Amino acid sequence: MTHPTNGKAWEDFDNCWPDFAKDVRNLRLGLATDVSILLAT
Amino acid sequence: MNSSYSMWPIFVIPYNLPPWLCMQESNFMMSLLIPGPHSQGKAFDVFLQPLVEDLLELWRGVDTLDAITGKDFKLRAAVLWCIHDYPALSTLSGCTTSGYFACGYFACLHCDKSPLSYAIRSKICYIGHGCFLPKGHRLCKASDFKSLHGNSAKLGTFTIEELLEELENIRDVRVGQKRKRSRDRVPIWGRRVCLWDIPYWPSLKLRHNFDVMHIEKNVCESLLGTILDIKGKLKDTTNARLDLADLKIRNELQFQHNGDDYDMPKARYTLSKSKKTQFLNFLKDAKFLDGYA
Repeated sequence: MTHPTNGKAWEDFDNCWPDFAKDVRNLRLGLATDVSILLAT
Repeated sequence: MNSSYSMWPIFVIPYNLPPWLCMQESNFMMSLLIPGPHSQGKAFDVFLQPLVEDLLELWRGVDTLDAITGKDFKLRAAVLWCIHDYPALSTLSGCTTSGYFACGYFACLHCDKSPLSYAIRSKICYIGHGCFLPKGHRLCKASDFKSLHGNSAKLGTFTIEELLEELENIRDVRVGQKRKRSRDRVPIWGRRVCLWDIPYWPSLKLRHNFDVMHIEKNVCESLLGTILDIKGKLKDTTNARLDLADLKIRNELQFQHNGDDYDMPKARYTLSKSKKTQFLNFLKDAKFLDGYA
């Protein structure tokens, strides 16, 4: 199992918003429309 | 399953947690519950508004107590992406998912200016995806599909500025309102969803993630139906063979003249009876890890 931290999209976000990335307490969220999708994976 | 009434919950998942916790149901936060009985379709946006307002506030930062240090700090939060299935893409992103401009790949990432689709007989055909293959890939070279890969030039993609301009054009499109179709505009985007109000939204690399559960199931079923030659399930139909003739590819599969009749040649990928038995026996004996089958 991998975590999205290793993903390109995450890295890209950090580069775009260094202010946000500085504080590790800042929350990163995902939006899901249907929970069955997540539980099935 | 009785589906006379459906509700659409929208969950927010914190990715700060380690992977084994982040996908646990107890860590999901249900932010919205959209009532049914039917899908809200384009009106979905109205329901999304309160969530977007909250997200905007969270992006600016809210006072939060750090339990360890005992001090207040500004907590900020950002949405990295949405997770949904293909039908929900049009609802959530406002881009077209049917017709000639339906290629989901472009809608999310590149928005191709000249979509790779055209009409064959009774369907819309999406072709030319060879241009996504690495240069010199063996499938690009294969003569079977040569005419389809003919113009595998670099795709015309929208820059983020062009994309924002496109969206600006349809800013006023509201639910239930008819809009004029202009010929010079590529109608990829139907409306501007409120998610675009979030300041960091345009800079995201991957705005929408597909759940491939249904896509995988359908592809697998069609594939098995075709190789096992199951009536009604197979995709190797008379019309499919006629399409090949229209596209001028795969000569060996096109109808062959035989006197007054036409013969439908047997395809390489249809299994013979003994091969079918072998294949089914293999499936019967196959063993998988727990939770994989």
